[in-house]
Amino acid sequence: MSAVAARVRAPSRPAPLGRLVAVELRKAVDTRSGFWLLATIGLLSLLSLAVMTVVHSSGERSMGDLFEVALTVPSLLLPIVGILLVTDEFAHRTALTTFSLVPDRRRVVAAKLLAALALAVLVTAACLALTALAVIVGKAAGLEGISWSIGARHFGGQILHNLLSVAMGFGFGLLLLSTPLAIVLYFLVPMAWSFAVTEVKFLSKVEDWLDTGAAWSPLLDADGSVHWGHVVAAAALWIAVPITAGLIRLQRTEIK
Amino acid sequence: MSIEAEALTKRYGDHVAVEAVSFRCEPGTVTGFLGPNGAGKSTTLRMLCGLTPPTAGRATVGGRPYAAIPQPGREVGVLLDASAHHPGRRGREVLELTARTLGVSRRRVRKMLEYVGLAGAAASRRVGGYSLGMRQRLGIANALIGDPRALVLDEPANGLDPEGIHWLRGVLREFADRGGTVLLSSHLLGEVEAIADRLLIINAGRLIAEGSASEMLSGSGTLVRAADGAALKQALDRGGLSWTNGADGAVHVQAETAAVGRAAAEAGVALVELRALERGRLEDLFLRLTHADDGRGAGR
Repeated sequence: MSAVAARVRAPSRPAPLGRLVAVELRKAVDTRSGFWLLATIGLLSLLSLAVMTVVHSSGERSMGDLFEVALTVPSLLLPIVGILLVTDEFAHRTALTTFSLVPDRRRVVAAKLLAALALAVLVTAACLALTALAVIVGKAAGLEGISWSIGARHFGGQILHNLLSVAMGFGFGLLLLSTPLAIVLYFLVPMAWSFAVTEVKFLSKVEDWLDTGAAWSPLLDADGSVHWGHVVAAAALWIAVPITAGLIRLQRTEIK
Repeated sequence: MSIEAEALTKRYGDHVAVEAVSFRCEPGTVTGFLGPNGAGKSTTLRMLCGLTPPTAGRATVGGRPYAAIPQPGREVGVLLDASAHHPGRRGREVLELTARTLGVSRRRVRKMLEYVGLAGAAASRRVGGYSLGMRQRLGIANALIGDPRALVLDEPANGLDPEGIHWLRGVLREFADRGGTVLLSSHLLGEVEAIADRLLIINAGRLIAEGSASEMLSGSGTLVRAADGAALKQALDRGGLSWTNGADGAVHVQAETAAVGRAAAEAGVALVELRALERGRLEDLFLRLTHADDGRGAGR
């Protein structure tokens, strides 16, 4: 039998990061649950787009407006994709295989984070393509009020917002290493924080800086102005801190 | 490429999981790591693979710590838990992921699926529907896919039927005959007996015996005990009988009870105990060890 065939020399360098990112991207779609999560995101996006294009047939609907509608569901659910990319490995203990193949845990985390960000970009781009399709169909069907108008800033803001939220989900997943806990806290903690900063006086001063809603939602507004200091500060608190803490925890933890 | 542990120790607070375990597995051998459940086998194997940081000591594969190997899957095949799979992933896909990570060809995936008997419809099924035996086969394919020179397998025979165990023995024998090094664990004497040619026995975190399987398992021997142990051993030496120290001052002799009794009588040594060991000292030892393990330790 030739299972142990002529041997090639073992590689002297770790697997390139690009290869690991490709593997992680594949892991996000090659399970039944992963596939259906992404398929559901696509279908719901398509459905809301169709409703907005056809049924809501009065008033102005620029491509920018439709794009916003197409992204409503994806931006809500993409963070869950980011969470699952990490927590699934611990829920099903596939981490045993992952980390025995790549012992440098930082490389695995980097690959997973890059895969999550790539997914956010891909999904946003797919939504843009769907929106363009909706405009074409709408115009061909002679629907009133549909126009090709969309600003580059609008598109960029949406992509950035999705990147930020998927990275935040990823950070929660990495820190908590548990799917239900990470999903619940991902939605609950920022809400509680928002409540706290609006209700507690001395916290209200930091609201614009450290509240993801207040700091990041201007990105979604086609006309509003974005305070980049706020964007970065909120990203530091809600993305950089969980990822750093999660990485430290992962480096010390025993993979069982 | 040898697998080596030097005074490997793992403590969790006051609990000692593994205490100063040292061994060396050489190329061309299949070593069985035998011990009751909870003896520290899995912890030791995880320490070997860099997944559990040891409290003290060190482990190396081919002279290097596992984590220092650039692409360990190309040099050490690892199977730590056959059940650890995403249930919604197809069997073939599990191997594809590993093949991609290691940069080996897709042809290798097909080849390994055939090698472990999972080609065809089984490969397209989701792992959630696999039996434990199928998962073991998939795990072994996954460990072999990078064409490694050493294998570390935790309970690979668990869930295999007798035919499967026979198959596994063939796979590992062939691997070792090509100069590979195999370390596999089991809590069942019957399993390792069928597969391994060297044995490491661990109990309560400590290595308590090691040696060649045939020596430890085959032939009948005699257990003898005397009030004056030193005199007994002198008597055995004089009688030309080879012996080893057993537990609790007992002496194991590679001879029939009659020969041992004669040697003792000639030297005038009073015996406390003299009995034949049916299957040599190993099984006797192992059965006593695993007695608390609700009897499952006894070979099937």
